[in-house]
This record gives sequence, structure tokens and C-alpha cells, in this order.
Amino acid sequence: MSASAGTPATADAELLRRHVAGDTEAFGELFRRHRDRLWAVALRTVCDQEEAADALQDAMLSAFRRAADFRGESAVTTWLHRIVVNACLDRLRRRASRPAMTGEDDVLAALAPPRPDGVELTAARLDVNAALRELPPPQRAALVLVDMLGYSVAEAAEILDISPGTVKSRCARSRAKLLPLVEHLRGGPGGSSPPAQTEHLRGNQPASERVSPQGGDA
Amino acid sequence: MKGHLDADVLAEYRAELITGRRRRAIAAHLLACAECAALDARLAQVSALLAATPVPAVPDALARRLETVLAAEKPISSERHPVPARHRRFPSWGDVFRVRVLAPAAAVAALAGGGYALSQAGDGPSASSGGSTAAGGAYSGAAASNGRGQSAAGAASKGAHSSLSPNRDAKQAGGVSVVVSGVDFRPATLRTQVAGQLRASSTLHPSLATAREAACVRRLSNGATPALAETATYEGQPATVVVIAQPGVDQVLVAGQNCSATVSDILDHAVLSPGISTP
Repeated sequence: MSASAGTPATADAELLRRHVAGDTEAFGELFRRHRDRLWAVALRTVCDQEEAADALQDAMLSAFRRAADFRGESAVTTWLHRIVVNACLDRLRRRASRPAMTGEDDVLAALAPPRPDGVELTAARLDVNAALRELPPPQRAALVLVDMLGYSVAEAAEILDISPGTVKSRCARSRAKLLPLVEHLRGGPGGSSPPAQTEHLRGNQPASERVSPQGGDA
Repeated sequence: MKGHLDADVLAEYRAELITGRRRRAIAAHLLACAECAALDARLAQVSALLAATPVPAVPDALARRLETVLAAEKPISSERHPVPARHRRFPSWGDVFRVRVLAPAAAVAALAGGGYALSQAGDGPSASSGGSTAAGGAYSGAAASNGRGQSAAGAASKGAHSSLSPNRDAKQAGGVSVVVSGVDFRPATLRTQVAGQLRASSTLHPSLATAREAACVRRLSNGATPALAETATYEGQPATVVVIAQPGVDQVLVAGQNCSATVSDILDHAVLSPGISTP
């Protein structure tokens, strides 16, 4: 790591400026700084590890190449998030318009080495993922940012480049659509207590979520 | 307020999209109606559930892949005409001259990852015809162009990296080397042809993959080390063929000319049993 990569105190905007100026370490540093957050956005928006990985790659290449276009009207993180969300939505649109005959997803899925946990993904994770997948991607993106990743409505609006009212509306519709998820986890209306179910989620998800798209190098 | 509230209305209410008199009416109803209050509570729980869902870190393999991809982009200031990869329908002119124009019908590139490139044992057309013969499949249209494909890619490799051997180039390019021959893969004979190429791989002629080919191969192999990667044709169309060895089985992927770092463009795929790939 060269000194030019900067210290954690180096502002994101400064890293981006150095990158545009030809500093070969700066963008990598910026990426490392925010990659987990950006990955979470991609994974939750796309609901598929492989597609999310590709979307994040699309986005990072795009950000790398378009860095000179960054004008500083928003925070660098907001700009990066927007590029990631757009890459996800682009990818989902392309997938939706692609003829189903390609079988590409199946092929790429088959290529990934077996996951250490096999198909033993937790029911809760499948439920959340499956439920999210049912949402139209623009609604999903708003919900993911606000409810899953904790962004404010204003921040989400800036990232998505829509009005705060639209963010609220998309989130509201999404939550209403996801009601069956809660009811399912509760074992139906009047089922087990919500806190227990939340703990169930919390306890089971990390192991499966840590599985890499490639399933490690084994 | 008459009747019960539906989930959409309650969700809008919770999101503060409903104001004024209507909001006050809903608030009053929720105080009076246990059923709607329960629905409201479940809506709140949706958000709580989502908030409680852990956010995973970037998987290590993906982080490595992205670092590699970004490293291959460096430096930004030297890229005079930056174009997002997905808009690059065709390779750059440099790529065109290396493979597309000089070797129009077929160029077969083989990649051995992890730093060891295939040995340069092949000798012009004989290397590829050896592979073709071993494969024993249909190679229509490939024979006439074998020699051109070989020499073109060989020359291109020299031109672009005159001071380095292909093997050394391959190491510097992250383990990607290219073997040039001429095979037209066909759906019916894909497995046999690929098996033949695998058997003949030690005699194929390595040179450098173009940036797009390397990116395509990396994408298809998904971070794994391919047993074989070829730039060839598939039913007469430019294609990239990648073989990935997995326990007990070899996966064969055929991608079209739009295959890049960001697009797979899968044309066909097949599975080789070990009996075929390692006779």
C-alpha cells in the first residue's frame, strides 16, 4: 500500500480526486472503504449472489471510469451507492428482457463450487430473500436502503434520485406486500411471538450470508 | 370510519403519506379497532424484521476479483477514450488487429491459470490440427484458416509484447495466456471437441489473450482456474470456450463475442465426465 492511499482520515472526495489525477492506489482504497456497504446494497437489491457480484463489478468499473464526472454535488458515498443501485436495476432489467432460453443463470450457478453449507440455507433467509424478490426492483431498492440498511428517506431519495415522497410510497407498498412474510414467520396470525422470530433470523442468517459467491477456494 | 383498513392504507399512514383529516380518522380507528391495530403492528414488524436481517460483508473471493478487475483498469489517466465495458460491443482496434482481422475464422486460446501458462510446444498449424484430429469432431471452415490464425496471433503477441515471452506475459497478466488454433465448435460435438482440445492442450501455442478475452475468461471461470480457455468459433460465430474442472466433472461454457467482464453471453454449455476429459 503506497502512502498515497492515504489514511482513514483522508476524505472520500480527496481519494476520488487523486484517482482522477492518476493515483493508482486511490480508487482501490475508496472501494475497500465502502465495499461492504455497497455489496449489501447490491445483494439485497438483486437478491442473487452471482448477479449482485456482477452488478457490483459493473458499478465499480463504471465509477472508476466516470470518476472525473463526479462534481461533488453529493457525498462520494451517495454517488457510489447510486451507481451500484443503477447497475443493479440495469442488470435486473436486462435479465427481465432476456429470453429465458439462455439458461445462463443456471449455468453460472452450476459453475460455483458447492457451498460449504450445501442447500442448508436457513428458512428465514430464504423467506426474506424470496419475499424481497417478489417486489418490483425499484420498490425493493427503496425498501432495502431504508428498512434494511438504515438510510433515511432523504438519503435514499438522493441515492435513488427520486423524491422523498416517492421513497416513502415505494417503501409503504413494499411493506404491505411483505406482510405475508411476517405472518409466515409468526406461524400465521396469532403464532409465536415476534421477538423469538427475530432472534431466529438473527441467529441463523450470518452463517449462510457469509458464504461467498464462489464458496471460497476449496 | 367504516370497515377495516387495508395494509396498503396502513402502510401509507405509517410512512406519513397520509395527512390531515384522513390521518386523524385513521389514528382514531386504530385506537378503537383491535383488528386494524394488530395489522398495524404486523406492518411495523416487517420493517423490524428487515432491519434485523444481517448485512453480509463482501465475500473474500469477490473482493479479490474486484481488486483484480480494478487493478487491470489502471491507470485512469492513460485511458484516452474511456468507455464502459458494457458499451464496448466490439474489441478495441488493437484487439481487432490481433485476432479479429488477422484471424477471422477462428483463434483458439488456451489458458492455464495460477501463473503457469501452457508450454509453447505447438508449431503453427500442426498444433491446432493435432488438437482437431484428437477431438475428432466437425471443424468445418476451420482448416483453411488455421495457419492464418496461428501466425496472426503469434505475430500479434510479438507485436504487442515484443520483449516478453508469452508465458512471461501470461504471468504478468494474471495467469492468462492464449493458444491460437482454429476450431469451429458445434453443438452436437462440443463435448468431443473440448475433450480433444484438453488432450491436445500441451501442444497448443500460447500467446496473450486480449483484454476482453481475459476479462471474459475471468468472468466465466468466476475466480476459479480454468482447465482450458479458448477463443474459437461456435457454429461459425466468434466464441470463447472455457472449461472449469470441478470435483468429478468438468464444466464447459461457450460464450459469444459480447462476453466481457460484465456480460457472459452464454451460447452453450456442457458437462464433461472425467472419463472423457481425462481418458
